[in-house]
Amino acid sequence: MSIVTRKIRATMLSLAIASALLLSACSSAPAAVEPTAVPEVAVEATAAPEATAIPEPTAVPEATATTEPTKAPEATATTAAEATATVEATATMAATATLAATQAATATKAVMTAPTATTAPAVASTEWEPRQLTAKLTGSGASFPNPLYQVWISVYTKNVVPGVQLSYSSVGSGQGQKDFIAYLTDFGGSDSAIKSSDVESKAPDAIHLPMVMGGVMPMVNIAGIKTPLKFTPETLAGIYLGAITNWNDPRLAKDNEGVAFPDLAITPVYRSDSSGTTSIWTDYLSKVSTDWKAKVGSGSAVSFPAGIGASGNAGVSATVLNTNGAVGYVEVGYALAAGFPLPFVKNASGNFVKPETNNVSAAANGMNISSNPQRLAASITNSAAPDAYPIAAFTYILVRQSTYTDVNKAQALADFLYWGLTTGQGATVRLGYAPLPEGMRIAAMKALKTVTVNGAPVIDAPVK
Amino acid sequence: MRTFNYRRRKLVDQLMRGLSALATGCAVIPLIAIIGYVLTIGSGAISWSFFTDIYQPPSNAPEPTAEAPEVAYDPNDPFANLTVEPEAGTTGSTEDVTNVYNAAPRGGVLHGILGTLTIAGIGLLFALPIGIFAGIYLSEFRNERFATVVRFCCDVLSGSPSIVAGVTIYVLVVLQTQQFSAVAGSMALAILMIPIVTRTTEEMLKLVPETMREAARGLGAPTWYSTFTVVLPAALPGIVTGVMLAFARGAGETAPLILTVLGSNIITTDIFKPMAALPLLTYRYTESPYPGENTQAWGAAFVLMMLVLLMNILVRIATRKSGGNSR
Repeated sequence: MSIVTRKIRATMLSLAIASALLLSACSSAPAAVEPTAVPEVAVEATAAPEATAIPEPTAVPEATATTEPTKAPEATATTAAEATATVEATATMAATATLAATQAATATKAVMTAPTATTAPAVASTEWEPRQLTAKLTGSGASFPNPLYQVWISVYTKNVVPGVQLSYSSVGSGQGQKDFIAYLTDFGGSDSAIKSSDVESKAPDAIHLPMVMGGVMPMVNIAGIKTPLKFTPETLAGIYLGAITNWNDPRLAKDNEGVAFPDLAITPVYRSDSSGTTSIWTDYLSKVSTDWKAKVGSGSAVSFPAGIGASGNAGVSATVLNTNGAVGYVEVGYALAAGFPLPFVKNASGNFVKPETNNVSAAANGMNISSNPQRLAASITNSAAPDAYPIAAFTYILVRQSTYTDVNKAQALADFLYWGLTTGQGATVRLGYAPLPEGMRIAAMKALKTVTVNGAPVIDAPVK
Repeated sequence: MRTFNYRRRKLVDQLMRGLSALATGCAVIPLIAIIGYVLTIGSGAISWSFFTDIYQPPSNAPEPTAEAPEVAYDPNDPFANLTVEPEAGTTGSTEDVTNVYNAAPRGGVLHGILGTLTIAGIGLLFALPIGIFAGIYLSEFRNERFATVVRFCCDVLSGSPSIVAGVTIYVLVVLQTQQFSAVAGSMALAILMIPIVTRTTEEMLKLVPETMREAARGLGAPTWYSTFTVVLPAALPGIVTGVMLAFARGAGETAPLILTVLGSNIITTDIFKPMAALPLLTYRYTESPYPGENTQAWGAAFVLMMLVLLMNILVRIATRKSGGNSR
């Protein structure tokens, strides 16, 4: 009996949150014209969420939830969940619009502070807190999100749940997938999705949880030129195909008026090791260049027709630093660490865009998010969104949907990942990563909630 | 005629001596260069906290001092220490990010030091009994046919690349137990240590004069008794040197650990879990985007070298005290 009431309370709670979210999104969307007014309006309008929520579409699911509560609690829960799904879909669109309109940083801050500010009167007592569990969790995988994960782990294990020991080793996406598939780790990290054939045969219950987004950018070293250069898909493909071999090529000069290119040979630098970065880079080039698709193709390790190889993001960045005339593709964080200017890349809408965090986040605008929790992984390179940086990708944490055996471990992991998807997003921009857009963040939370041990869900947290 | 011959011989002698000296110099140059390079770059990372602290993610907040202790954890802004007082509205500017990435290195490698000592120590526990008994067998029963086979296998094993040991243990232990662990790493290291211990033990026992064995036998001691009370103690300093060599080899190996130990950023006492190790830290830190961690990679390499050196010196002193002339 108590379970039933708890479930009802949970659905009511999620409805209240969803409506609050919808409300704040709706109220902030028109206000986006005057970005400075956003926070105040949002806080003011959501002071009394229940009162204003009635005319909204949430009225329908609320009715279903209240009319037959005791008869079939399971069914009520699912219909309510579906209803919230549609509500969130609308909320998502509005939220992404705001994200695109305002600075990504302020948007994240709004997202971060909104729940505490708006839900205070209604659901203060049931606000989600990670459980104080004791567990040892091991993960391995992609090197790109490693700095962020280490910051998360440090804060989480020191200040939030001290009983948990978390260890993430940056061994690369390929190795991370292998370790995860072989059940050597509790979770994996990967910049690319596991091959679908491998998923079916070896890891049928793997879930790709998007955690954060990042951009891959061309890092250029030409002595005497410090201004950010502009690239088009054609010039990038041309350089890496070996068709454009000198920096004084007219195709480069055309996009970069005012830049005095020297007569200097171009040395393209690529990753010699199997890497998620290469996978993103070649996926992009295959989408924008039929030549590239036919001659080279995409993958985590391809045979590059031109240039020299280097191992790891750090290796590419070091090679570029030491070679006059070199260009290499690296994750944005590595270029920032080396103090390199962010370049412009022409996106699918024809705009030249820098890989600033808000532009990277914008790459996910307008994408179709699968409702199947196991199909969240998606390519978002060459996005059609007008302000999107075109060479962007999600980085994923791999978890198992139903084959965890240790309840304690699974619960501790789910709590950490949920924390990463909520509070943790606040660290992203400060480290040069792009936060997940609302829609994807919600989808990731829902996918996380499908993780079960012996049929029982491991986390019961609001999707917000 | 005679003078010419003498002069020519003297010339040849001097030439050859010069060439030998040059070759010796060439052999020493890399060693000095490596030590010097590791010292100069690594010393930038060396501080007291480098030995007493574990991994800390980069942050550009000032190091906590007595006057200004670290900012307390604020649940409303858990990542406040990633930027020093971000100006309003500028969070996420590329300069801020560059600042975080270029901040001075924090934290230390205590977890790596403890991990390396644990992993190599357990590896030695595996390798010691096997290696020493095999060495005794090879020396005391050197004419048996099986001994020749074992000796040959030992030489092959000591010449095989370390990654092979790593892959073997990865397949046989890690994949079977579905767990990266310090013990698996120790096993991989033991494979590399056993031939070293075996061959040095054998060589050292061979150096013990045959007359000592004969004397023991003449007094009525059985072979096992003379081996353990007469032969082995006489060869002990040499054997200990071999054991130290094995330990140094194991402590410095990276490749087998990548596949078996995985690494960790915390101090773990559970040897059936992933553990940190200095060579792994060196390897991972060189791949890091943070210049601070790149410096720490050199620091970790420096600590590893010093650790092995310190162990060597300590053991030399210990064996010298216990009598016998060390090699």
